[in-house]
Amino acid sequence: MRLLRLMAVAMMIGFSGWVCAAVETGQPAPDFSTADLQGNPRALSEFKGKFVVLEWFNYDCPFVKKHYSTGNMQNLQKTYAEKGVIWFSINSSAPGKQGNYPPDQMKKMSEDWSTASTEILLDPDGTVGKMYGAKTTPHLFIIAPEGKLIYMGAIDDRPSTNPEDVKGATNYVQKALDEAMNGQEVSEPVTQSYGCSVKY
Amino acid sequence: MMRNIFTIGFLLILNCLDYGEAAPVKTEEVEAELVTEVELVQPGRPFWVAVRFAMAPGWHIYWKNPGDSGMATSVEWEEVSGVKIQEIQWPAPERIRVSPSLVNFGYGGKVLLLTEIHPANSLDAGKPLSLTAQVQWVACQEICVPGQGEVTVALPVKRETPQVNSKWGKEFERTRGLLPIPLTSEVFQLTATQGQEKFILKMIPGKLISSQVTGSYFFPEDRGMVDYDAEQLFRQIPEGYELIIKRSSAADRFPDSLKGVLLIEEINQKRVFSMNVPLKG
Repeated sequence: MRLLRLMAVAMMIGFSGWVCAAVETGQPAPDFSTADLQGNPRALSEFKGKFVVLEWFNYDCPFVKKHYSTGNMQNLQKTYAEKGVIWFSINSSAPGKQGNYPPDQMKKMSEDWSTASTEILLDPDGTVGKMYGAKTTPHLFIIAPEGKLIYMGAIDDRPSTNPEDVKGATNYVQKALDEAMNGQEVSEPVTQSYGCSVKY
Repeated sequence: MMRNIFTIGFLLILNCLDYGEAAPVKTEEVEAELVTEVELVQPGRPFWVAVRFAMAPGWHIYWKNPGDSGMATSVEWEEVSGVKIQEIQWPAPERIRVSPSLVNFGYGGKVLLLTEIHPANSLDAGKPLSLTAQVQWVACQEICVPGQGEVTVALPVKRETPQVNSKWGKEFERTRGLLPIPLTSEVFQLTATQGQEKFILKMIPGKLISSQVTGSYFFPEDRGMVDYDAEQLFRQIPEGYELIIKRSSAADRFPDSLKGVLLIEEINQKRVFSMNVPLKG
């Protein structure tokens, strides 16, 4: 009985190594390559010299819907695209799990939502998600032009599904980008993300 | 004259209403209703009510700190004159492993989130007392579904000793047994230190710990401090026991204290305590 318990613990520790964040703020963000909606492989390294935002999403998750139904996410995507920020919306839902859709359906959904990210990337085997330690949808990561990870965590400070909570919230992504683009240090580089679990 | 007629009319209408619970709020995953431990309110005598949640098999709702994902269940009471509504008392949560890397704290099956109500001595006997709360939750299984609604209950107010509500009395009793009790030095003397990667909780047993402690787990109240997915290492040390808790990569640089619920497993029982230990180092 005790041996089984030990084995279970060992397994859990082993599994938890999967997603125990390999990434740290202040360190270089790992490069990755995964397909966009057209099936072309896209890599982080294509965009060296630019700010890059990674946004984990799942259109069926109520926390994601909170930010998309209010236009909050799309506004961020658009506002910062105009400032030269590259925005990747990444979907790591495994086939058969919530949020996973074939590319053409994903394209339609993103158009229905007026998603304004630079690219939507599909990561159905979860490689990129696990590389970054993406735990929830949404989960946000910001990479500075020199390749350093400068923010990871929640989109804002109101961990709810209520669309009304968007208005009064402190938006961590906006704050971090504004600080970094002004040459300042990011004051809150790490926060705890909230949302649905990523459906690996 | 008119005022009296209105009052009588109002009271007559109220008399026609059933005392007790209004229809529960129902979604596919969760049923929420306001239940009471007593059948009437005696002015000046505190009594217990609860929001009772019943979850469909496999579904969970969340504790005040939901863990890696999900959302804390929220209960917001409408103010009522003549009564003081105390804070929600949360039974000890379960640790729920959602995936190889995610752990949540919450409840499955049924749970009562308890509240004590203090009616004033001067509360008007003869007028029913109506209590209403706005409830919000996120229920998760494989996926998450939010839910919300208003729950309400009306109780007669009488200057007599209330009987225990036969329908819910047992559930209230059972739930009170699941509430964390304040941890005193007669249970453990606790000291907490922190390093770069972990928090260390040292536990020196007091006289209320009579047998071998076989396990322990700390449920933090504050989000973003602890790595929920990592196992907490419990072991014996010369002075007693030690629990090593891994920090979250999102941890506050230097939190002041470890605040939350401590589960203690002994040979024949499990007990839960509420703790708030200052952090050194």
